[in-house]
Amino acid sequence: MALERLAWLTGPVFERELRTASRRRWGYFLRFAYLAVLTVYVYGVWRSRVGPYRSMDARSAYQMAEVGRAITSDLMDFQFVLLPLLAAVMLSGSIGEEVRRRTLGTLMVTPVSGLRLVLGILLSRILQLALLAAISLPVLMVVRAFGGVDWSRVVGGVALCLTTCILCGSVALVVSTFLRRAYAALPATAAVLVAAQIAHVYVCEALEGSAFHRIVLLANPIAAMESFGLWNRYGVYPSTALLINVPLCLGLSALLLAWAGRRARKIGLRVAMGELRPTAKWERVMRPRLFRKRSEADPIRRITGLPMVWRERKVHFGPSRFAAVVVAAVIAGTVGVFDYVGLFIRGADPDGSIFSGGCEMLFILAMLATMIQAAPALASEAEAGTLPLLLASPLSRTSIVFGKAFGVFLRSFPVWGLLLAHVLLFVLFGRAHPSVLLQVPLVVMGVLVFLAGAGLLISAFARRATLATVAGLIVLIALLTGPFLVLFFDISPPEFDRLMLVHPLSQTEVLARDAQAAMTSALTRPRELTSLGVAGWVPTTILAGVSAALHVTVGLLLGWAAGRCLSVDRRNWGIWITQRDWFIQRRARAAG
Amino acid sequence: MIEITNLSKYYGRLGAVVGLNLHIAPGEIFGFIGPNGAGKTTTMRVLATLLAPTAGLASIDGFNVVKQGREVRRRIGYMPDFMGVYDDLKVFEYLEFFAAAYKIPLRQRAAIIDGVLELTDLTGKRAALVDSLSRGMQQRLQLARVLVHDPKVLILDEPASGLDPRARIEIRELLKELKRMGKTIMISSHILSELAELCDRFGIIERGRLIFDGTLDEIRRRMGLQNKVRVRVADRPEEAAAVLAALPQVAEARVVQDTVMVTLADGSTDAPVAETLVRGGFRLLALQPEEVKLDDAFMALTEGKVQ
Repeated sequence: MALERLAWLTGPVFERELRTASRRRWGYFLRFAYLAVLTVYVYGVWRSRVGPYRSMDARSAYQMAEVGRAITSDLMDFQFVLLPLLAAVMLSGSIGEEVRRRTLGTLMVTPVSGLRLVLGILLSRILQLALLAAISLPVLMVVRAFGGVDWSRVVGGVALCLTTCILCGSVALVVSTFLRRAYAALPATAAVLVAAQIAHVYVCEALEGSAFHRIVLLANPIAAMESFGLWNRYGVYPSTALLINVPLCLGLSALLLAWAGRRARKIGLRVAMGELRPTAKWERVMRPRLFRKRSEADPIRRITGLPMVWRERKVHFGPSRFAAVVVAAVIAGTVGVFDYVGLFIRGADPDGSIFSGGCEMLFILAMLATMIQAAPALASEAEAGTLPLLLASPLSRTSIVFGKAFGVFLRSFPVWGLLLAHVLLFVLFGRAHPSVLLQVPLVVMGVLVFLAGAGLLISAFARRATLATVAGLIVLIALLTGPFLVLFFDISPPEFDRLMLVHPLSQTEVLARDAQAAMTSALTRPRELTSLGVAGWVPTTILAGVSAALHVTVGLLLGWAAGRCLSVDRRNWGIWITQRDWFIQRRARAAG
Repeated sequence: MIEITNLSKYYGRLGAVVGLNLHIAPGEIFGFIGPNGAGKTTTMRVLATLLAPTAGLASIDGFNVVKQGREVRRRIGYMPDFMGVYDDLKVFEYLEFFAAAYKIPLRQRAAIIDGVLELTDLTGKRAALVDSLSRGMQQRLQLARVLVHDPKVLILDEPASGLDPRARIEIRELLKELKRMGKTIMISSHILSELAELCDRFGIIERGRLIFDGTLDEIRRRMGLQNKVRVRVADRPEEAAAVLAALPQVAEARVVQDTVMVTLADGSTDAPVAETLVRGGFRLLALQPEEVKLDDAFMALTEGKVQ
């Protein structure tokens, strides 16, 4: 009976999602990837937590309990960061996907309500995330043997993590009703969550000392999670945090879901009425102002040069991409304002953090913008049905990939331009050595080619642009954070520290600090460069050049592989299947 | 012009095309028929160099589709079953994009494009945006696209699917014009009656295997229709049937809805039938060999099984 009542809550969409989830390859891939990351993480945690006690002959029960508590806390933090992020990723394109498959219109002419639709989608994804959370249970069981692990805390932490997933997923669902493409919806969801976090900080400061302060503070899942950790900053009982946070999060999620359901129904009815690409209201209002549709009266543009390059130059800069760039520009602008307002207030940049920190932030944003442009580039051609036409023409695969890469450079350049403008401004005001004007563009060139190559390779494999974008962003986040995690857990050989200088993010920060140190005697040169014996701007520039050349080479190789893997048949997983076919042919020839 | 020898394409263990042999002569229109999932599109994709075969050989105009893909692509015009159009491009720009892809010099492009637009009756839509065209016009635009580089061979995968009767007739007329121009055309379609009117030869494929390859006459023979004659008389059809059944050249004569269906004996012609009826005082209205319907042949030859 209870199950039947639950069925009302979930409905046929939930059942459909459950049935199809087991047939999707990416679900297995996700679980495998999660397990791999978890294994590396647990190894790192083990090394860093147990390492200090290794030299002792006998470990006391107290020490073991301390290690147990620390590992449990680290694992819970790991889940708390990763699972809500995955919830946002998995749900950011969900409504857009229903529109694309034309299933939204079909569903909306049945008795399924908008709320049941979004609930079904949300709960099916949350169930998958709960499965991922369950993967870490064996580790926690082992750690329990150490003692010191309170199960009620573990259960409470997991509950808090899942309600946070529901909240993040609900935000992503609402955003996906406004932005149909995942590559626009995902950064927008991230922007909403970051904006909510910043707003929460200001509200808490404003309510300091009032009776509501603690309730508002614990409404934020991050603050509530702190009470489950080793350093309980706010001195709140975990159970209190749970009792305040969970109902608030679920209540807010319910409101967001009701909104998303209402919007989904409206969109679905428009799909059912025959609109192939129903646009959001903001898009209908803004589109005529920002994107004037060409008419028959407009002159015909003649094609000169390489056709793919011409096409990328003249490509329709659609509202979704525009929204993605607007989100990036707003974030970049916010970063810039904070940076320059800080500079204005402090009158200087005594520790160099404003320049180097700004460089890092803008670098991350530009990389995200590049990947968002590169990852769907070829997949969107396949989705639109234009890829077979290109592949059946004498255009070489290299020229197709080159044209797409050109488009990526062209459209991501405005965001890279912000970084270069930031660097130029500090050089003009005499706060950074002019050599950085050569070094940073070198790094940018290397990263741009590398990311374009990596994104296009992902795009050559993916069946859909949305999937390609999500995969591209996951790869980028892994590339950005992976090496730092390895350093953080101290599980790498000593040489790895030096290798990190090739990591573009680390390199940009080091170059920025070095350029400031060259102009200010109060600042010391970065340890990363002095330990290598690199002194002066010429060797530093050569180092940046070598690193850029390395990135360009790898990027070109990835681009070449993307060309090789380009196929009309998305089941044909590119080069590997081609090779397999070649072996089958060879075997057939040998057999006569 | 098109040679396919023992062509196979496997997806894992699934044989989409298995040991296909086919020969299409220059200037011939070849109708490729089969149920959904039979392997038509896979075969056409292999010929268009989009897929590598697992085994076997395929060549167009003497060029191997695997080893000399670029040469093959220059000689073919491929129209896929689902084709996308670049929105925000005008009809002329769309065609010029592909003209540039086929490396046609800039100075020659305008004249060539105007020529194919005239041929496909799209001259009035030269400056229209591609996504504003109707489905039928978009289909004609695709035909214009495949003609831009004047290919010898056209590979058309379901060119008339989803079109209304008027648009289908327009496409059919266009294909007849291309036939007159001497193009070799391989065409697949589900509208079999139209193929019957258009094609010189047919291939029927099922579950990846070619189960029939030949002309309409050969289909008649295969279906045992070559000995059947329809006779219509003004009155007394039963009496006429009895008279004809007595002839040694007639194996069977029976009345079906006022028409006498005559099955001739092996090696016989229909001349004695007409002669007997006239001598017997019957007013002969019509005497015609039994027509073969491609739909019936398709139903008779295939089992309706897919992979």
